[in-house]
Amino acid sequence: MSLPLEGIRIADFGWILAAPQCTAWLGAMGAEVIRIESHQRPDIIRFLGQDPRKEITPNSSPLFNGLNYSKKSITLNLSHPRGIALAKDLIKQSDIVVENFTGGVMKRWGMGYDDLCQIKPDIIMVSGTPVGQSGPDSHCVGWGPITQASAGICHLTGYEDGPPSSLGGSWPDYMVGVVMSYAVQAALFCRKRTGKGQYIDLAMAEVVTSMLPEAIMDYSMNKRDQGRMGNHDTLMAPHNVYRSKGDDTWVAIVVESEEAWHSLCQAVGHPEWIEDERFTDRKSRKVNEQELDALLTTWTKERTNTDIMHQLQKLGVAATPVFDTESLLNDPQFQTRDFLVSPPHPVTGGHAVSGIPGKYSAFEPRYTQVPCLGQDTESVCRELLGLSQEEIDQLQEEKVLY
Amino acid sequence: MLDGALASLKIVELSERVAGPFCTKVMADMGAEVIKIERPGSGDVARTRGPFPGDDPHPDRSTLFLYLNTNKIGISLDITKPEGVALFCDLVKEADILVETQTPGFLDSLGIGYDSLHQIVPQLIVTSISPFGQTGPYKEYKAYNLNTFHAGVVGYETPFNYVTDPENEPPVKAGGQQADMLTAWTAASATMSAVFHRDLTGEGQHVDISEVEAVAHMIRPNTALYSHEPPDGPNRSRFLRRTKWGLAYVFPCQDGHVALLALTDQHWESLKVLMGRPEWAESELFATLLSRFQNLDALEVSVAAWITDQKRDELAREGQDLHIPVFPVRDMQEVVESDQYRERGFLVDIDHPATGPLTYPGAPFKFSATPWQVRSPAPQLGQHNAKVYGERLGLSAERIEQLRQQGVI
Repeated sequence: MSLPLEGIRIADFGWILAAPQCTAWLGAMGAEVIRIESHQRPDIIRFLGQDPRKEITPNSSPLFNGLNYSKKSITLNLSHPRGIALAKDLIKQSDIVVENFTGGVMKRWGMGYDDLCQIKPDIIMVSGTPVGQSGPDSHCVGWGPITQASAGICHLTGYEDGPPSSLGGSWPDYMVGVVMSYAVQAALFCRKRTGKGQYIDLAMAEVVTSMLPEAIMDYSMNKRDQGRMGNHDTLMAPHNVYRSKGDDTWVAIVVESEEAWHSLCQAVGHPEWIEDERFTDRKSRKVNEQELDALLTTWTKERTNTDIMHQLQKLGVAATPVFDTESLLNDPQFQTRDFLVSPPHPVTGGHAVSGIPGKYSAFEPRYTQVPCLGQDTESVCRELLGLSQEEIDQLQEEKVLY
Repeated sequence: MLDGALASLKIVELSERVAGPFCTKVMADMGAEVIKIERPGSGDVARTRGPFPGDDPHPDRSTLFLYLNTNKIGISLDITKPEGVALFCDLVKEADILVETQTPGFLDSLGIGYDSLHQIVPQLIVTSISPFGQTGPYKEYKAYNLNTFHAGVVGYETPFNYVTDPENEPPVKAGGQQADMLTAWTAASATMSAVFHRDLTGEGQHVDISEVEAVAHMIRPNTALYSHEPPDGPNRSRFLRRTKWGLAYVFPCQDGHVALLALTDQHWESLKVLMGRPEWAESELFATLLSRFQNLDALEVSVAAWITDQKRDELAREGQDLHIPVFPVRDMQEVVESDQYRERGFLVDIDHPATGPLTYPGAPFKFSATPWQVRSPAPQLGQHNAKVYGERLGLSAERIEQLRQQGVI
């Protein structure tokens, strides 16, 4: 079976979440991803999320192992000149370089895009940073959840009368990793057609803001700040999450058309709401949505969120549970579609983790082992960089391969 | 300069609202040709969504629509009519990719589902986006951005690490339409993977994107913790619930809010300096990365108390000078007027016959050889009918007029 990115090699300097998310995608699609790591500066994710009652090792982190399948790992000490030289030898034989260090770090190591073009003219390089490689804030450091505050989304997220909020799911790290995988593939497609590589300067904040067009444009043209709306919508009502039966369980219900509204009124046993002047059309329902939400809750809280979903969906009303992790993973819809995959792991034995989204009729993405720190150092040095065992031993002793 | 990165790709879009149109927009903005098909008469629902300049609704002035449809060729076509189906097939024959967001099964009922299209155009890639995917018991279930954001667990966790009274603090959706937007990027990346596969094998395929799965893909740590630990595991019982346990990221300060996280040794040492080395910070609880991670709730209480008295911009500036990850929580005016965005030319003015120039978010990433660019603003409904049906498909002016009168286009 052919995989889309067979024959493509990636020198992966990425770490933490966003860049590894990008290379997990590309690795699952068949690219040879070689993570360049180091004992001297290990990816902190290798240590987080482990059971503190057990021995903490760089190879037992659920967070790392849930993200880094289909890759190799070599350890290369980049604070040593010989380490940099070996990294460059590897780049010479690669198609793509991925990195998400603070702006300027790769340049300081002599591995900026211009330097790399000297040794590999058609290289594609993507740099992910909080706010980009240029501009007055380009020196800034940030994790995804911190950076997004500068991009406007925290201001727009939260309860109507509450403070600005951070989003779940380590947003926007994993999201930006997906964007990065798209950008890299677009550049690769261009190289196949034209023979030319290029540099991609990806600013996380700009990706986040590019996904807020209504709020940005409402401000830029109407000088109106949309602020926080909770679960409400500017036009549709009902449009909220409602308490359902069970401990901290909720159901999301959205009504757009009059037809769906009528169906909902029938379903909850209040056909008289159809004629009620507070709710006759979308506009009046929006004006009276607090009352409407309270009335609906009296019905929803007596039923489970899955029962509500099945009952209302039969009538064409968009009702779905608010899933927590466990209820999602145990839901029949989710289980039918095999969202979880189980790449093997020599230390933990392998566990179910998230695969790459999408079902592909012509191939199955490939989920190979999550690498232990440095497990492929020797084979990559021998087979790709042409080093002898003697040289490898010596470089290990000198802590270059470390 | 080269053409756009995707200049040779031809895409047909049979979609409306956000996810499908944003997927093809990010490809059109990189140079792909996108023919967008809209329903005759009312067109894409996003035309009714706004916001509108001066709050004056008009189908050609909805800025959501204008943003999501830059660089596209716009035609109208009723695919529920037999003549419409025939024209649709003619369009798809010329294309590399079809992006569609109809309810699963609907195109099959018209005889233009993936299997039929694959017979006619074996190398065609069909990317189908739907709330729950093309298979499974919920495949026909209806869902909007609010539904899929919450069904994909990210909604359950938002506001992140804030909730102390779950009964009165429901899960909240993110600002904007993040589930739809994320799904669009997911579909665009998946489609590119399918393009490489086609170039290797000559085979097209069906790419089935579930919006809920695209969102659930963002909770990788939860999924992994769930399978790595027993139900009473120390991390699983902490991370997988939505009540507050530390790591809120966003803190109130004297004159607004900041986002801050100092977890690594380097960041933590710098924060101690910035705080003036308070005694509590030397506690063993916070001595190492792992101990800070285990004691985030205690750490947060003390850090938050210190931040309360700080001034927002001062803290952000002085923190960044010490390489601490800290940013002010910016409102819309600050985002739009940001020096950083201005210097990088992130926001761009785009002229449109119905609105005049408006300021849009621009390139989400900068390509050195094939920059993001606007070649044309979003189309008006049916704007390119004559061009596409006449020049591309070779229909006569009379035939086009006839189709128009029949309501096919």
